[in-house]
Amino acid sequence: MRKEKKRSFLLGASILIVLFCFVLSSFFYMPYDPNQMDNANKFAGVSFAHWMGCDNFGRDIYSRILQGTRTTFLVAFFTIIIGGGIGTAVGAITGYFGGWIDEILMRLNDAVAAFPNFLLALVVISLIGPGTFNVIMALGIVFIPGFARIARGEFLRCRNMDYVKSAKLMGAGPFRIIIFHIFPNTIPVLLSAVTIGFNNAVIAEAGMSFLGIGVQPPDASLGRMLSEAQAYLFSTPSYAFFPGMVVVLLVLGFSLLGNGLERKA
Amino acid sequence: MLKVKELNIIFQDRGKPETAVKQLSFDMREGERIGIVGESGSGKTMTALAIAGLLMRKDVKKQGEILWEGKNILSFHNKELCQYRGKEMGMIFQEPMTSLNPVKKIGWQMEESLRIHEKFTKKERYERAIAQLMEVGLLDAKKVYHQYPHELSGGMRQRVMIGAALICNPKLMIADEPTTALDVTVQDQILQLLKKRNKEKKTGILFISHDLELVQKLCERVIVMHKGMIVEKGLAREVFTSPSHEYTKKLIASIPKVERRKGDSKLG
Repeated sequence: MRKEKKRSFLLGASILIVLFCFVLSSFFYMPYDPNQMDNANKFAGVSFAHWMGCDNFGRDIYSRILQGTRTTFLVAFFTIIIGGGIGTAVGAITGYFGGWIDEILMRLNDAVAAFPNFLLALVVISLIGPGTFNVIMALGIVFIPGFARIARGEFLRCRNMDYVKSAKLMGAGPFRIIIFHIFPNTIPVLLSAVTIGFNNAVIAEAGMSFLGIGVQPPDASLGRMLSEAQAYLFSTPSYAFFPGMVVVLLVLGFSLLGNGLERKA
Repeated sequence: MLKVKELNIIFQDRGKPETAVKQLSFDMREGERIGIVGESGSGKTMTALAIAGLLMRKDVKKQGEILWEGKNILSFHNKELCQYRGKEMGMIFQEPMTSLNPVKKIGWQMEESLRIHEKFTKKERYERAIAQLMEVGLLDAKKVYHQYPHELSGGMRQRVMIGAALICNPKLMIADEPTTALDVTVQDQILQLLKKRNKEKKTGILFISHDLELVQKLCERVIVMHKGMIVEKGLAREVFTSPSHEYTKKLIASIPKVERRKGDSKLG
């Protein structure tokens, strides 16, 4: 069991590291301008010049994937920062203090969680309008309840531990206890929640861009590319194949990583 | 220093209220060693928690007064409580295995009280922590400072707990069965440590135990509790040699009698 976890962690980590290296390399060298259109190369197949081919506007797919992965990473990262940050804070307060504050915040939380994630994100987007930044906001809000619930459970578990009692007896105030004494103990659980969350964020971003309410053209994002590619699925399969593969690898990588990080149950 | 006046602790459960401590009164002077003995459920731990200001939940009703230097602990606000804990009073528990934070280094935990109550620089804190570790008998202090709790034995952890609880030089140390989870030789060492501290720094010790022998070794005065009430109190020597209450007699009679060698205890 232990070995399996380690293998899963290593495999996930190496997939992500390779992807990450590609994305990093794009900051130093991008073969083509991802938004540069080229009539001569419309629907060009895989070749040495364009080794993932070109799309319906003659843009280099490889360059666009690099650009799109960047965007997707960015969205997923900040979504987790917002959702995970606020969610953990809410969970910490409700779990540690309990009582009426717990009741109020958790009922609010339940109300948010009652909507399907994607639907709620759509509602938020329709309220604040599309765009990269707004997608981050919408997904961030949607991700709060999940993190809050997990964090609450962990803080609830830890607040009656003896070491919390001894921290109290040293004169530590509640916020000091939450941040310095309990929080470090919840990191293993929160970390695996973060990897799962990252996955969901990647999928959600791709899905929203696919529907045309996420990243706006001409900017590239993996979901956006997939949505543009579906019209040419049969004539130019490489257009959809490569961005699709990257999404699959991203999600697979984070799933494996999360699996490996999870506490041995 | 500490004055407990007619303390009642009542648990307000859904059903009828349960009284855990009834009309408890005692005084404690500076630098005194007092033992509270009694069987499980006699209310001795509740008394300790109340004095430590840990019984602040609203569903536990408290009557009477616990006066610390003239101020009632039971009416302290959160801020005052934080000031009182750690700085004026230190407490250790029965479970040294779980009382230390598993993911923090010993040094960090030793310094916690200093960070809260004193305005020391990092270096001063470090030196203080090392000195304190040495004082509680962890001579390899520099190594222990960088270790995690799971790397230490039970006895060593209890020493760390004592060190951490006393690092701000509080006037009162509450020890709630500090040796129950430890083996006999370590028990003796911990008792010596508490006694040494009491002699050198005049730290008052409120020692709570069900073990009459330990109390006899350590304390000057004892309070015997039964069903939430004090049944007997007085000088340790007198209470143990000529108990007046039936319950105390029974308690003493229930100590397993073993042929004792001379010099068995270094405390005497």
